[in-house]
Amino acid sequence: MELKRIRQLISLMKKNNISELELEESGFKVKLKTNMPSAVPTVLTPEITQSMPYYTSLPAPPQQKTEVAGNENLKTVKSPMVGTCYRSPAPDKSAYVEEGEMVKQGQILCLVEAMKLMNEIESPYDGKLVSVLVKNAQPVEYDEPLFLIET
Amino acid sequence: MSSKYSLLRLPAFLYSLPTQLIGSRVYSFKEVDSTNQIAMILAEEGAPEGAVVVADRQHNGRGQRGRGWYSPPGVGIYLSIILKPRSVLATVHQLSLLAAVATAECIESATGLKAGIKWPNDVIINNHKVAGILVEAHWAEEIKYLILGIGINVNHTKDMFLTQGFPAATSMAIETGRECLREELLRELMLKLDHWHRIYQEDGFEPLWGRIQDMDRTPGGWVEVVSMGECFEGEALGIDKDASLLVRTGEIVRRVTQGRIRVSCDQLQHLNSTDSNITTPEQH
Repeated sequence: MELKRIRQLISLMKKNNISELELEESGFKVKLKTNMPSAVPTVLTPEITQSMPYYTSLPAPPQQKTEVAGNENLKTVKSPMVGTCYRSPAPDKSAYVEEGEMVKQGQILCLVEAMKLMNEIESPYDGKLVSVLVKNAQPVEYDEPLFLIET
Repeated sequence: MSSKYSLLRLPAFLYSLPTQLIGSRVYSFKEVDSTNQIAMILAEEGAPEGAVVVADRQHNGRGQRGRGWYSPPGVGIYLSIILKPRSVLATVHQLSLLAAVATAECIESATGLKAGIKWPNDVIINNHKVAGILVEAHWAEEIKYLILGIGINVNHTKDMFLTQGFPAATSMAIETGRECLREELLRELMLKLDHWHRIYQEDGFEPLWGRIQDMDRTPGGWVEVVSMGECFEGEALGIDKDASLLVRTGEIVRRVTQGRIRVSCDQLQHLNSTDSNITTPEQH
């Protein structure tokens, strides 16, 4: 699916006040969500010509979806926001978790810095961290898979 | 806990403030690594919303991204509050600004000087950083709890900052030439935080935004943003009604609500001295 097509969908959603849209087309699945505070985004000052959507989830890379589909015990941990993912609490500290380690529900997996706010992401599952899908200091999108955990 | 975490007895009035939420419990320590860290441990152990952690000294006070907050004993206020908002990311920004407003107001009433907010987490007097806010949210699919950390430079001397390599930092005492009673300031801070939190719960962000208009020192700054897969830079116009930042690039004004952002202060229109390194690698 082309980026252009996704943009068309987004503008279609905006025009019609659709908050969620799921579409499957020739084997490609896309789920888009807007999270506007009210149905119609209010323009506060006349000079604002463009405002960014609050949350728009772009499709995750397809290979990660198929991996998940292949094993029901494999769970993804996704980013709750757009930001920068850090794998350690500070540049000189070691990573919160490494591939292959056992993790417990509630254990901190990484830090996502968004707009200068620090967000610690904890594991929703007990299990084995089989895959780290992000590099340290990598930009991440909303809903982007960060880790695969085998439960 | 080791002796490092020995308790500090605060004046009795600080344990029984007429607040609704903030200071529902007060844990005070002589010294800790970081009040945010202690608050997180307490939150994990079920400490109630509004619980406050204060320390006279932090060995490893936290700033943004591993940077420290200089926290020597006897001169500062280092405080963290546990909040449990049922919310989305936008609310986190709003709570961060709520802390900045309460802090700025306290500093203003104690010093008689005008305090400003540099979005999203600095409080400044005369263009020098006097206090900082560090928000750490803990996510488990949704926000589980949020720690509002506040550090105020109260009675620090110029020499203390110079020897530590923070030439752009200031304290309330440096600006006014007189020392301030920390216990009184702490009391004011908890009352103001509670006051604004109550208004925020009842009427949302708009009343706070009204107050911010007055204090916003962001306009004129230069901002770089990477968000939603695109990268742009522009002039900061100010903080908007929903706690987002308005950024002008050419003819377009964008509302930035999330993403990675770098705010550079050296084009602050309010800056009229040559000392422009507020954002150099000092605190936060």
